Formats: sequence, structure tokens, C-alpha cells
Amino acid sequence: MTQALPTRRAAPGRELAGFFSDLAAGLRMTDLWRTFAWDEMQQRYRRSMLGVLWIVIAYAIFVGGVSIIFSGFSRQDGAFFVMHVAIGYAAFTFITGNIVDGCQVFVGARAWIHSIALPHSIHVYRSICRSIFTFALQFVVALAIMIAAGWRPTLTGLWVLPAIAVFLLNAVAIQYLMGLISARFRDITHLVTSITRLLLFVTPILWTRFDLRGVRSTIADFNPVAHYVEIFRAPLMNLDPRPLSWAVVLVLTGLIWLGAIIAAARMRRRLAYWL
Amino acid sequence: MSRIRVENLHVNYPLYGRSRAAAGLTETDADLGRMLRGPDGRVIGVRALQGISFTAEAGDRLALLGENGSGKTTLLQVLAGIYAPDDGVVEIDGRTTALVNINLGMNAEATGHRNITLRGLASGRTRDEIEDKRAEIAAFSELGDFLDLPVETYSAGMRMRLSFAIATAFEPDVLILDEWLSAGDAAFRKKATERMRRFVDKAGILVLASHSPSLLSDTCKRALWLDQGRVRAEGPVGDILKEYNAEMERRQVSRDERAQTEIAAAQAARAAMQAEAEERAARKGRGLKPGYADGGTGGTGAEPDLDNPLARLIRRIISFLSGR
Repeated sequence: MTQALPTRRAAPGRELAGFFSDLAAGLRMTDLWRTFAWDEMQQRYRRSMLGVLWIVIAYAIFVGGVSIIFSGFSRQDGAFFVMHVAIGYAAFTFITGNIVDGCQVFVGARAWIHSIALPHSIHVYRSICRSIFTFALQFVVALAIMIAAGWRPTLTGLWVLPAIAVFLLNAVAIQYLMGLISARFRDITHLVTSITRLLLFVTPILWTRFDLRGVRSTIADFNPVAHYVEIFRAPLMNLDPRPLSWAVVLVLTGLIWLGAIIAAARMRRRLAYWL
Repeated sequence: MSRIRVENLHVNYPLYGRSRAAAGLTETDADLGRMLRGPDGRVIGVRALQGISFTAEAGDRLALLGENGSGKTTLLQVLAGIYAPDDGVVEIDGRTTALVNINLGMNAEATGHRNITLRGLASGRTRDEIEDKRAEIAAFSELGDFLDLPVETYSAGMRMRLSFAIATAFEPDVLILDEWLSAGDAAFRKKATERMRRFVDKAGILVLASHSPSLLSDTCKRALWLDQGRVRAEGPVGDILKEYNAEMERRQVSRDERAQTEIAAAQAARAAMQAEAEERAARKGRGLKPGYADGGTGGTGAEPDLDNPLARLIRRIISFLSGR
């Protein structure tokens, strides 16, 4: 359909600049991807009576169930463990959700990509917008649980703001990168799904880092997702964020963006052919 | 001022594993030049467009003519900005609207009204501008209360009417249409043709690809004839149509003749194979059905599907289990 830009010139070359102007042009069309995201949410819960409320219910059931069963395996105090699960799982879902959704971000938008010359980033923002919505609802549940468990906000908690900013920054690059790669190589989607399933068990959510000793605690540090969860969860639990976690997250953020830039420079133009 | 400039445009359509080694057995000489082959001889892509150049100025109504597979739709998709050129330059001044596929560019689960909003936003319009046009779109599409139903409940003709109404309501500078009006009934076609003419009078550019000579000559002034991904001819629509139709008739005749000889050759080859298989079965002293004869050497061209080690192994196992 309509081209948003009045003048357009298409010729090979200048791939790198193309990626950044794609990101910027998409960001300007806020109204469009917000509408897309909202429609998608509504369609997912269409004809269910409780609708979007299911996100809240499902999350409460998960946190409740896990807390009852797994707190017995932890040496931590009951309230501490519940908060640990409630915040940790929301952060975990956001990060892994963006990786998994990223695999579908362009494949799922095939019909639109084949019919309108929109910035590809539109589809990325739409997908992130949806995951933020879920994240926000889950966070509200976590907050309610925490307050019920006697948690009160502290100054350390402010560290959560840069953590959220870094999460969003990562989400853009992760989804763009995964979207391009899995549009070209369809096996990636299946690989990612199976790895994410495993990640839930090797990330300190159902167990705490403090329960581990020696070698095992060192090995747990090799899981990058654990550090993402850590920078978000620690401040909310009145723990000072670990410098190691922030360092790992920042380095990874840089690497993921680098990967996205390289992938975009090489693959972005051909995307429509792969769908 | 709207303008289209296309210079030496090349597009290769990659296949990514969609082709098989056997593809190409039935290629004609003309097709051979269009297949892109990898080092192992597999077809890895199609040269969809090979060096297209043309320009269109404000007020132009350009018809695109060509057989199936001549590159019409690919060219429209490149003009629409959906596919990127492999080489050459595509320059378009003006807001472009392309209706290339009737089923795309709509959210099928959303209502007609919701899709008006979505496509308006996708066109870079504000919500106010969309609301200003909503009544006009509803009237032109003649969909009435259907606009409150999901688009998936529409017929092809209804979808087309809605798409066309939305696309033209926002008054693009360049309008690109592919085979669209064929889905509408005569009354709508007339209305749409009129709207396109008015649109072009406002100094827009229309590019229309169609197989309908009457639609093209009614709507367009100039024609571009695409053949094998190249521009075969360009000129006034009447002349080009005449030339094109004559050529198509010639081709159909020669194609029919070739098809006859090919069928005859294939039948002869198959008969020879069967005779050979029967002979072998007779030698073995078993009453094998000719169709299941196991040559052991694999396919001879007629059944390329079975000519791989795995299939051969499976056939061996089956024949072993059945006691032969």
C-alpha cells in the first residue's frame, strides 16, 4: 500500500545507513505498531471470557504453584523465595520471550511485508510492544505478591530503571537479529524453542544462587540469561546489583547489537524474498 | 510532481531450497537463460527482471503486458518497494500505493472498519485524516454493515472493493495495480475505471498490469510489454496490444505442437521401459506386475523421485521382506 515517504530511491549499497534509518522510520510510526500490537492481543484472547486477565491469572498460578513446591528445596526464607520467583520469572519471560517471538517477528508478518513497503522495524516494535504489555501485567502481579510479603520500596530499587532500559535496548536488537536469521534459516525457531525450555531450569528462578556452593555456583554464572534476571531482580529485593552481572549484560548488549547490525547489513534487503 | 524512473533494473528471484535437482528437464531454450544455477547445477534462482528501463511522468497511464511469468508482478513489487533491486536504480517521486495481492495487506480477523484504520496508518495518515475519509471509503466500497464484520467473512470481490476504496481514497501520487479489477462485477469495474481516470487527471501516475485487453485499452495510454524479464516493446497501448496478441497466437500454436511431440516422446519412452521390465520379470520366471518392476538401477528419468539411495534402500528392504 502506500509508501510513507514521499520520495524513494532503491539501489544496492548503503546497507548500514539503511538499517538505522529503518529503525528510526519505524519508531516514528508509533501509532501504527501500537494499533497492530493491540489488535494482536485482542485476537489472542478473543472469545475467552476473562480475556487479557488470563495473563494475570496464569502468572499468579505459576508463581503460587512453584513457590509451594520449590520453596521446600531452598534454604531461603519463604517470603524471600516467593519474591525471588515472582520477579525473576517475569524478567526471564521478557528476555526469552523476545528471543522466541523474534523468530516469528518477520515470518509472522509475511502478508504485510509482501504488500506494503513499511520499515521492517515496525514489526519488531509491534512484537516488543506486546511483550512489554505482558511484562507489565506480570510485574503488577509480582508487585502485589511482594507487598503482601512485606516488601517496601527502597532507594536501591531505582537500579531497576536502567535495567528496564537495557532490556528494551536488547529487545530491539534481539528481535531484529532473530527475525532475519530465522526467516532465512527456518530451523532456528525449533532450536531456540528447545533451548529456552532448558534455560528455565538452569536460570536461578526455581532455585537461588545462594543455595549453590563452589563449582556449581560458578557454572551458574555462565548462563547469560541469569545475569539479565539478576540486574532486574536484585534491586527490587534490596540487594545491591552484582557488578559482574551488569558487566556481562552490557558486553552482551554490545555484542547482540553488533550481530544485529551485521545481519541487517547483509540480509535486510533480501528479507521479502525469504518469506 | 510524481515521476517514476527505472534504469537497468535487475532482480533475481532466489528459490532457497524450493527447487529440486530435476527441475529444468522441461525447460525450453528461452527459459534456460532465466534459470540461475549453482555450482552443482541446481536451479537456485530465476532471473525475474533483466535490465528493465523506463520512465513515467505525471499523468501517465502505463499498461503492463506480458505472459504469465514474464515479470509483471515482480516489477510491480519492486516499484512498490517490497522487493529490493539486485542492480539498477528505481526512483519514485510521490506517495505510492500498490495493490499487488488481493489477499494481503489486511488483517483478516479484524473488521472492515478496523482495516481502514490500519491501512490508513500504514499509509502514514493521521487518525483525523482517516476519519475524514471513512464515510467516502464506506460509500465507494458499497459494503454497508459488512464493514463491522471481520474481513475473513468477505468474498474476494468484497475484499477487492474495500482495498481499492481505501487505496484510492488517500489519493496517492502513484497507483500500482495488478490484475485487480478482474474480481469485481461489471458495475464496480466501471466505477473503478472512472475513479482511476479522475485520479490520473490530477497528475498522478497509474501502472496497471492485466491480461484483459479491454481494461488496458480503456484505462491506459501507453503500454510496456514484458517478455522473459525484459522490455520487448513500448508504445501506444493500441499498437502494443495488437502486436502482443499476434505474437501470443503464434506462440500458442508452436507450443501446442511442441506439447504434442513431447507427450508422444514421453509415452514412447515409458512403453519401452515397461517392455524392458516385463522382459526382465519374465526372465526371472516370476509374474511381476510391470508397474512394480524393480530395475535395481534406479530411475531412468521418468521417475526422478525414486532415484536416491534412501528410496533404493527402502525398495530393497521391501523386496527382501516380501521374500524375493
